Amino acid sequence: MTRDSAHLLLVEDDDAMRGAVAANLSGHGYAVRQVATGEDALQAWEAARPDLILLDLGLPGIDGLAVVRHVRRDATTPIIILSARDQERDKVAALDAGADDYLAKPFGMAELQARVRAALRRAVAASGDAEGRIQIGPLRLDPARRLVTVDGGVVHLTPREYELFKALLGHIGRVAPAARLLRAVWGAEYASERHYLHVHVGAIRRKLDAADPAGRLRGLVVAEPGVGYRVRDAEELGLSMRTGEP
Amino acid sequence: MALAAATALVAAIDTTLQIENASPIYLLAVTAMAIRWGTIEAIATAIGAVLIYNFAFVEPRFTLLVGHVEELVTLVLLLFVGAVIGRLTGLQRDRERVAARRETEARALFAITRELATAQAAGEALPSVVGRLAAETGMERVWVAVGSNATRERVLADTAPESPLPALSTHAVLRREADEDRASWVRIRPPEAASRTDTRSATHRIEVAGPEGALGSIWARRPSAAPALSVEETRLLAAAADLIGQALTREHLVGAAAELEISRRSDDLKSALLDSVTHDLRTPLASIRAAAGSLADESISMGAGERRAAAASIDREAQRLNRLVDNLLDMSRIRAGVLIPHRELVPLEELTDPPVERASTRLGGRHLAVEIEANLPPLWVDPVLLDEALANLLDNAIRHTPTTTSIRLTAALSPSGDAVRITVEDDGPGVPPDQVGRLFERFAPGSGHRSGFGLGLAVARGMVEAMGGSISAAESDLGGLAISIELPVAAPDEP
Repeated sequence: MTRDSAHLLLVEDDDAMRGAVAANLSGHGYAVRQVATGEDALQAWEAARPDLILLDLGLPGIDGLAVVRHVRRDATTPIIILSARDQERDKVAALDAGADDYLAKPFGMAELQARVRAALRRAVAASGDAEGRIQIGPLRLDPARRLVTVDGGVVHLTPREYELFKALLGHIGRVAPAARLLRAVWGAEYASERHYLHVHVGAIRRKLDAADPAGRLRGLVVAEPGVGYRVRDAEELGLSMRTGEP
Repeated sequence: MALAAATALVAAIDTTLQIENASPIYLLAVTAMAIRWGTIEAIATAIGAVLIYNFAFVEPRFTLLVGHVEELVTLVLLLFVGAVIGRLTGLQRDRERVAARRETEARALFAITRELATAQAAGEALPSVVGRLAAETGMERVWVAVGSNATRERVLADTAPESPLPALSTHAVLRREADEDRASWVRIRPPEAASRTDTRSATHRIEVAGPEGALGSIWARRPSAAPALSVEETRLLAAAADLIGQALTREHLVGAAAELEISRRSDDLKSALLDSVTHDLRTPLASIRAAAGSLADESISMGAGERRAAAASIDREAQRLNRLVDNLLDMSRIRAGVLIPHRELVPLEELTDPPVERASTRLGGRHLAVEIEANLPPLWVDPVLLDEALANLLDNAIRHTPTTTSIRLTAALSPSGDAVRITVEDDGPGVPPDQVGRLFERFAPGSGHRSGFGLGLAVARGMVEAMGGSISAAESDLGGLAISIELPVAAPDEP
């Protein structure tokens, strides 16, 4: 599958907005199917199984969140939420329900293109090689040995930091909602203890900075205030893209 | 006791000194009783003394018969003098006791009056007022509540604020007369009362009234074992109710006047804001329409470069509009008082990185340096609000300086050590000293304004203050404007 022939499903109820976004995506070579309601979105999803879904949350009828839940029942197809400012809470709920990323309206077309490319790359590369090893530029995480290295040098993470880093790297090219990370690393009862995250992410950042004086990995994990963390992929960091070595 | 001592003394005198009539000794006992207890006790002692003297010392001894006339006269005199001394002494004592009680009552009233008069708001003085009432009237709990109906009141002050209020049950209500001393307690059982009445303690209610009717109540509970409320205690509670009623009325009047003033000023502010915002909204809209009109015009032949420039200007102006709309929304949330910070402990770099990263794309030739002191404690803030505030400061620095400007963001611990100071400053043209203090109130009526200037800073201030921080402007060491935010660090016992 080549990137340019990827099939996108665009769900947006505002005609002008939908037309402008579709024109831009088509102009970049994507095959775009447009629908205006949640019902049509589900129908289009079942009929054609697109490679990526761009989903407006405030839809008439079945809302965006319900569409996310439906798709996530049997597929990991990337979903990018298009949210307005007054839908902050819905946005976090959609991310927590399994959406990959979000763009706050009004967004620039360059931003949209970057997010679509990152989400499609993730879908192609999945996460890591056959043994689950993940490589981003000089950084490598080897789950079999529970080891994180930068340029081959070991980054000494505590067990908790390692678990968190692994959970973060499971969201490369996406947004990792804080509650999901907390549940994965600390357990469900810690889902609202965000300061655990802040402290441990801070520690991981410092250790990566020390192991990578050139700063190539700076910006790998960035805070999305009130939502969680965005984890960039190698291309977004401006590094050559490699997905693991033998 | 006194009687026994006197009897012993009389017996001693009678046997050892052989004095014919030792009965006046009993007058000592009567006087002592009068001083110690009161009139009735003194008269009882006098009667007792007569009986005992007659029985023990008057011939024939050990009978209540009287042998001689002199003896009878002695007995009658003893009784009479005893009664008179007892009565006089007792009256004096009662007067002193009443005076003392009145003094206590007056002192308590004076203290309550002063507390209510000197407090900024009645609510501030009430906690010490209820404490004083409880102590002076022997109540186990006193609370003041407001509301026109006893069943729907809001508690203003309570001597035991942490324990739940008892359910409304049978209680005594003070029925007040013009003559305060004739006020009486009437037991009532409200229809809403819980079926089980509380017998452990007695609840009293005194209505607090203003000129326009009931304002609320003073509630007081005392153990049911305690004696009924005295006249003085009742009077003190009634007077306190009057004082609280006056204080609440005064406050209400002051509040109503202030509200009127605020609404008048807010109208002025709204029209100033509207003028300014209308201008700020129209400017980018005009640019957008101009650029779009040129693009759509078939008679204009544009090169690819020109078309891109026109489209880029539409994009840029739209972003400017979006920022303005965001700020207007934030401003309305701040003004409506619905901006509720969701605070958490966040390390500083997590807070500064995202806005700095976003601003980096809009620098347009300006240089942005970030200097953060090592090992700063985490901040106790709402990361979303602080992100907005910092974005506004950076935006302000970028928009009002030439493209060659150096902008610097620094963060350091405040001298006191309990706050972190984040400063955004530049070496740009700065702001005239007489304008610096008014930067955050650009929309105050009468103040001129530059386009787009002020709303962002006013929003930053609203958000910082909502998180318990402060914001200030000064001249920067770099030569331009420096805007500093001070935010509380986590309390040491926070995790």
